[in-house]
This record gives sequence, structure tokens and C-alpha cells, in this order.
Amino acid sequence: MANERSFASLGAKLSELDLAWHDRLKDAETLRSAGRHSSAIAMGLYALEIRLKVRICHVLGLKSLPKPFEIHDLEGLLVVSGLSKPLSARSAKHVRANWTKIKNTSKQLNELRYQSDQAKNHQDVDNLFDQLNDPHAGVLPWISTQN
Amino acid sequence: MDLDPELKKAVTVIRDSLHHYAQSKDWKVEDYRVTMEINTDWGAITIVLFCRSFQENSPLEMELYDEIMDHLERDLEPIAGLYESTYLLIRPLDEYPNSGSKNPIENYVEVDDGFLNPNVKHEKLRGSIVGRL
Repeated sequence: MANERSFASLGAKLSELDLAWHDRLKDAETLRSAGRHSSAIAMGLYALEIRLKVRICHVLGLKSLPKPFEIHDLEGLLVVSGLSKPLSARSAKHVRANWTKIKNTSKQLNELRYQSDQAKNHQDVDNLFDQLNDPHAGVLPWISTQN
Repeated sequence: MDLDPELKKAVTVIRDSLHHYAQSKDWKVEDYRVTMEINTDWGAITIVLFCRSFQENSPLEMELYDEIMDHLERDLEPIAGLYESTYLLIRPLDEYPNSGSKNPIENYVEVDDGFLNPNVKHEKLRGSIVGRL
């Protein structure tokens, strides 16, 4: 297997990533409850980014994420995780709407680091959480349903 | 602006489709704006449609989204893969970047004034085209 090759340039372990995306999601929930809006949004975005990296490892049958996939661009991660085509299916139309909103929010990730919590409000956080977690059209539950 | 001819065709088809949709709803020119960001590295075109009739977090929000996506699917179908590469975000008109909004959506360029305007220099579109052309 590629991940057993000593010459291969591999990054984070799949097992670690799989725990990490759940942890970032819990962090996001905790921060939301504490009213830390900007950080809650950032953690939610990190959770999705890591979730896609987990998916890439599964699709490629790897136990670690190859370094070239250590990117932060959600658009790129969607493509290399093999999900861009399934996302364009009619049945995924509302997931796609949520994906597009999240992608747009992710463009503010750098700014979120330097923003006070007043820059975002509870509704902003709730919107992102719905886009991520809604059982019918949330991006995270949808990823889990994809083979 | 020297857009790749295929990309220019794609942008034109999307632009025309959205203008036709607007006309079918009797929207006036001042009722909506069409902007886009093109990610050439990953083959994605994101449209941000700013329109007066948008009501965020209301049942009408998804109704409008569904209707426009259906319209786009029909019009984009002749170009293989274009609909699959196209993402739509709808925002209220008062968020349009030049309208004085506090929270403008950056990096998106108006289609008619930007991508399809031969007088607009490539440098002015930097940021709205991500990746290599």
C-alpha cells in the first residue's frame, strides 16, 4: 500500500483526521454556545475541510493524506474527493445550495481569524450550522451517504 | 479581456439564461445584478445573483433557488458539463458590492461590465478569476 512506502510523501493519518473533524465540529458547537461567533464559524469550516480530506483517503484507499492534497480550497477538495458530480445530481439540489453558501463563507476564513465576535451574529452561526448539519440538505450528512 | 473562447461562451450562455429568467419574471434592470467568480483550476463557475425579490431564510428562498436552477439546467444543457460546474448563490440586492453594503461579497465581477466587456483589462478581473486562464 502507498502509505507503507517510506518514500511516499504522506501527511496526516486518516485515523487522526477522522477524529479531528468530529472534534472541530464539537469545538464549533461549544463556541456557538459561548457566543464566540467568528470562531464557531471558522471551526465549522475546518470540520468540513477535514471531513473532505477523510473522504479523499477513503476514495483512494489510503491510511494517510498525501501532501499534495493538503490544500484548503473547498472547491478543489470537492473535486478530488469525487463528490463534484454527485453534488450536481437533481436529488442533491438543496445540498448544492448549502455547499455554495458554505463555499462563499469560507472565503472569509482569513478575516474570521482577526474579527471580533461582534462582526458576526448568532444568525450567521446558525445559518452555517444548518448548511453543514441539516439532516435533509446539510453537506456533512450528505457526504456520509455517498459511497 | 481575452477570455478563453469556450469560457466566454459558457459565461455568455449563463448570462443570457439569467437575463431571460429575469425577463420572464418582469424584473427590471435595476431589480437584479449578475456577478460571477470563475475558478479555472477546479472548473467551477459561481454565480452570485443579487435580486430584489430575495428573502433570506423564508420558504420563498428555496423556491426561487429551485426555479432558477431548473431554468439554468435547461439552458446550459447544450454545453456538456457546464451545468455541473455552475453554482448559484442568491443574495439580496442591497448586498450588491457597489450599493454601500457593510458586508459586500468580494471578488465577484459583474458579467456584462466585466467578463464580457472587451474594454475591461485582465488586471481588473484579478481575484474574480481564480487559477490560470
